[in-house]
Amino acid sequence: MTGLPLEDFHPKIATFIAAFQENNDIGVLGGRVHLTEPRTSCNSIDGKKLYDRIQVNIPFATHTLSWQVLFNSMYPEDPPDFIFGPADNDFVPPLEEIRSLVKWDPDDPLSLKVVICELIEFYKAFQIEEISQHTRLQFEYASLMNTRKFTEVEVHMPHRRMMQTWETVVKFLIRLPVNFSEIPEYFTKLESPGEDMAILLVTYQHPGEKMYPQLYLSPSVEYALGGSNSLRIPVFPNDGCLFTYVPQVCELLENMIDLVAKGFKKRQEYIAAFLSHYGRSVLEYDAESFEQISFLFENQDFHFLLHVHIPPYFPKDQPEFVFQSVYHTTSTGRPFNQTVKDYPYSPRWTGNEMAVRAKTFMEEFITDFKRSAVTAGYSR
Amino acid sequence: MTLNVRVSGSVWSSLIFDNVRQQGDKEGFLIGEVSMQEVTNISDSQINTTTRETTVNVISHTICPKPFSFYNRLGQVDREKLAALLKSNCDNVVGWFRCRSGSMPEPSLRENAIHHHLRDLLGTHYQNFLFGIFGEGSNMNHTTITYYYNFYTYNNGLFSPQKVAIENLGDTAQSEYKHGSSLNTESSGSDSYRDILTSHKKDMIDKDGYLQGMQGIKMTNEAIHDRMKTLKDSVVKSEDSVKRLVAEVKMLGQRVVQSHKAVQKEKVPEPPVVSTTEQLPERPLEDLNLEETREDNETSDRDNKLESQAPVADSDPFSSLIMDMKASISPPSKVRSNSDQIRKGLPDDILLKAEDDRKVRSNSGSDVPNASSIQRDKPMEVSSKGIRNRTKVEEGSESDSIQLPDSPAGLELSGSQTF
Repeated sequence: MTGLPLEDFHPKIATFIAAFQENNDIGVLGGRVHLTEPRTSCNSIDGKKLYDRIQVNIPFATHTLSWQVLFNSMYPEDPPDFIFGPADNDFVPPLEEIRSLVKWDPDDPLSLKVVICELIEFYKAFQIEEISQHTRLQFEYASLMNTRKFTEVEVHMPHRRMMQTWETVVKFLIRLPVNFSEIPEYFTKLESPGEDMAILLVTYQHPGEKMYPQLYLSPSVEYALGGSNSLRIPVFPNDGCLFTYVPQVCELLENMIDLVAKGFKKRQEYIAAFLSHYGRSVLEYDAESFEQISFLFENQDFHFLLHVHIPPYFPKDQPEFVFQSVYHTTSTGRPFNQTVKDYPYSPRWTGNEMAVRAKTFMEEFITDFKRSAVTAGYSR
Repeated sequence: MTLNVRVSGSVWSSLIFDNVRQQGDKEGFLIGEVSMQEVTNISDSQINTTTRETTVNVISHTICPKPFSFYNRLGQVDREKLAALLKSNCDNVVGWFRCRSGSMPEPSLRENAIHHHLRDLLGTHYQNFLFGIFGEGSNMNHTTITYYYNFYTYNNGLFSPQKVAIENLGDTAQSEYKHGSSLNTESSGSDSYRDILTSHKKDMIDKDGYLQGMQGIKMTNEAIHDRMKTLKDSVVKSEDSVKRLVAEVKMLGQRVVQSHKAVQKEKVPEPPVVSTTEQLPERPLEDLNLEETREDNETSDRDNKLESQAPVADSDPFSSLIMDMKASISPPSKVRSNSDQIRKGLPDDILLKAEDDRKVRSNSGSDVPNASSIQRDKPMEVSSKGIRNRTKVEEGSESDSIQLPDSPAGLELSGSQTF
């Protein structure tokens, strides 16, 4: 991480930390792990102070775990020690079972990362054990696991001493296994840190026995699905369970993505059809998102422009035709144009058919357009 | 069940000194002893609460030369290495400590494991095995250096912090020395201290095992108590007699006063009709009445006679009275008789003033010739009687102080008695 003065660390310890910074993925859903607050165990007033303690901030189920790693700069070969902080006072994984600490390899730079990964696994198990004391939560978790669809689940229960005895807030952070590869590429070209993912956060509150869901998406996915306004997940039913609700949300997401993907294909097809029919009249078209195409047509020596705007929910929604005159302007000085939204259309038509029908419609409509253009506008 | 951890000031400072003398992380052991007490709290409510207090006295410490000297990476403790470190102090270990700066003052993963293993091995003070964390910090330019510490015991599945009482910092007279302190006692501590104590023990403790000075003090105390008892009895007696005597004195005094008044009343001719007065002299009532009636008849004559008689001597105590009689020619009244009675006891100047007042009154009031005539006849007899009485009285009273005939000699009428 930027800001850590690696040169002030003992060289051996610095290698561990550097390797850890580069290889940051330890299996938590929350993102990167931050290393902060270097400290030293030596307190000499003069002489070089070598840092050998570091604080590791791990995002876990919307909480941040602050663990301190203790090395010893006098004996850098020794395996480190860990302090889990007052919030995790009762997290005491059995030392004998932490293999990477038992077989600590001082020469492998990734040793620290491996240890922390292992500790996170233990921590997850510890949290699951904590919730096993609540029958309902235990049931929820077990049933969710039994569906075998959701493998990355983080559960966090606050420390028993830190929470009020009458209030419990437990968080379930579930990664939804949705395939985002169908999403058209132009959406994912946006800068999206990390891979695309959808995470469902369900907060359980004890007095009231309520579950509050929240959906988190990668920015590109969110954009692809139409922004945060269109993301309405159903409210958690009062008597519902996680193992029914989460697949429901999953399905909803998958449907939306499906819709987006299909719509894209359909648009592509539509544009392709128009191109193949009227390719020589094409002025321009959007080759990335296929949302718009413009033509210059001529009918009985009357030239006009046609802009076709394809809505996001095509083919459900009908594309909009905008006729624009090349001869006439409106009072404001802009070319006269007329929008037609209700021409004969059916979503079941193929692209080809739509192109053919568009032509017949245009031939019918052009006289009206001519008349209105002349009356409404002025001759150039 | 409360736990008190006590360390003496010198042990504490040597502990901190050892911790900061060298750089790096260190660990060591606390040597001491554990004692239990039951403390009863007496309160106004009938319930007396008894609490059991455990006191851990830390007497000394040892420091391990380097890390991992008695444990391995898993926190497992090696028994032989531990014994080699502790040598003879194995039984007296009450806890262990770690000194690490720049870290959170919470027990770490390995320390947790070590603590459990040590507790199992050393076993004697299972419940109250202490774990201390020391650290050192300083501010930016090293002008202030802080030494911080935290002590924990492992109870009910977690490390709970403990308070440490450092003795000799503060007033220890009331609390620490009474209930046992962590200062060196004979059983623990260095050899030289123990030798000195044993060599001087015989000077302070007699053959039965009691401190010598204590016996003497006890006997003195008992003697004082006995004497107090006897004194108490005599005080009671003397107080009783004093009370009795004071009562007697008072009564006799009253009697004297009354008799004095009676005498004075007899000398002076009484104005007629004395019906009810508070200070009647002790004379038979018939005599009084007779005198009054004669007075009534002879007031006028009396006046004349008085005037014709030889002038009244100034030393005559009744002169003023007689003059009053002369001056007054008012009918006999209760008021006057009362006033006469009262006047007998009054000094002369007041009597004169009263006489003037009476003159005024009499001039304004109606004169009854009979009254005056009654008054006049009186003086002869009255004066003679009065003179007679007066001499009697005078014989009796020669001084102002009242001397009782039967007062015991040598006894002063004061409340106190001298021994």
